[in-house]
Amino acid sequence: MSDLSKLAKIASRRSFFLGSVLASVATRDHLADEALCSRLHCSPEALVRLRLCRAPDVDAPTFADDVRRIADYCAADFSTLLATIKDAAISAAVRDASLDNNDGWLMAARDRQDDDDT
Amino acid sequence: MAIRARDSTATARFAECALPLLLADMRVRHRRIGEEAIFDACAEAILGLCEAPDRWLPEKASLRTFLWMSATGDLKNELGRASLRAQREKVIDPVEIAQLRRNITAEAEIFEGDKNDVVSRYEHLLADAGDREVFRLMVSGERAETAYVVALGISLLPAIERKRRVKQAKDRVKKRLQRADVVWPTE
Repeated sequence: MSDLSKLAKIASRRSFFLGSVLASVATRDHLADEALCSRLHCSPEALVRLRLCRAPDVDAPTFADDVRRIADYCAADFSTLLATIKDAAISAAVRDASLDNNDGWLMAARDRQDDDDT
Repeated sequence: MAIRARDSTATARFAECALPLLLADMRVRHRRIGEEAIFDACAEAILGLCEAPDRWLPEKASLRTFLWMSATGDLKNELGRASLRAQREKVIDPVEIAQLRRNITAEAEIFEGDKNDVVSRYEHLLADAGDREVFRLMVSGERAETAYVVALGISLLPAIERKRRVKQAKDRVKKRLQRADVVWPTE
């Protein structure tokens, strides 16, 4: 493994970098590096660069421009990259919503128990 | 500096240029130190600067000097921690260690064994894929919050929310295992 790809792997554990977004997709879909390259239509070298880019803010008005700049620099497919980052953001939001619902369930269950006790 | 201007590709371009130079500088200046420790210090200096570019004040030092000082500082801290750990291990009497070992519950001892075995034995208790990944990280002794953030796929959330979610997930995993009478070793 080259020094740069080792650095990119470390960057993927830090939420600041795009690598962490790609890692969450890879973990969710059980993708090894080769499969991730294949999904993003990019080379392994491009994947290293992608991981070292800053994670673009999906809510920023410049989001699409940021992704295009990243795709151009890393020689990755723009629309696939855009879709993958959005997909990761949606997965995170759905997961958060389901966790919130679970909390609600527990709270409701506790309330009910209290009512029964009184 | 393009990183300060929030150019998304600047961090990658900077890392690509800075890493070989910094590694070369550090290898020359710290010949007796292992490659892994040097690499980790260089990685921390470069990635840390990407995350907080304002730490570098151009009027005080050149970028190359700043990175070298930052990596050397990290390296010294890490070596200091390693030496402290070694000293602590030395002062504990072997009889005391044996006594401590006896006090660990049977289930807790399992966690000291083959970690893959532990994961495969208990992960069926966790229905959620994210929780299983959190469990794997906990068993492997991972302490970095970012590893859990990635596992949970919450890297796009604000920092405070990420911290809360990680704690929530760890507590949930522990509680599920405790319900199945698995005793989690004390930290």
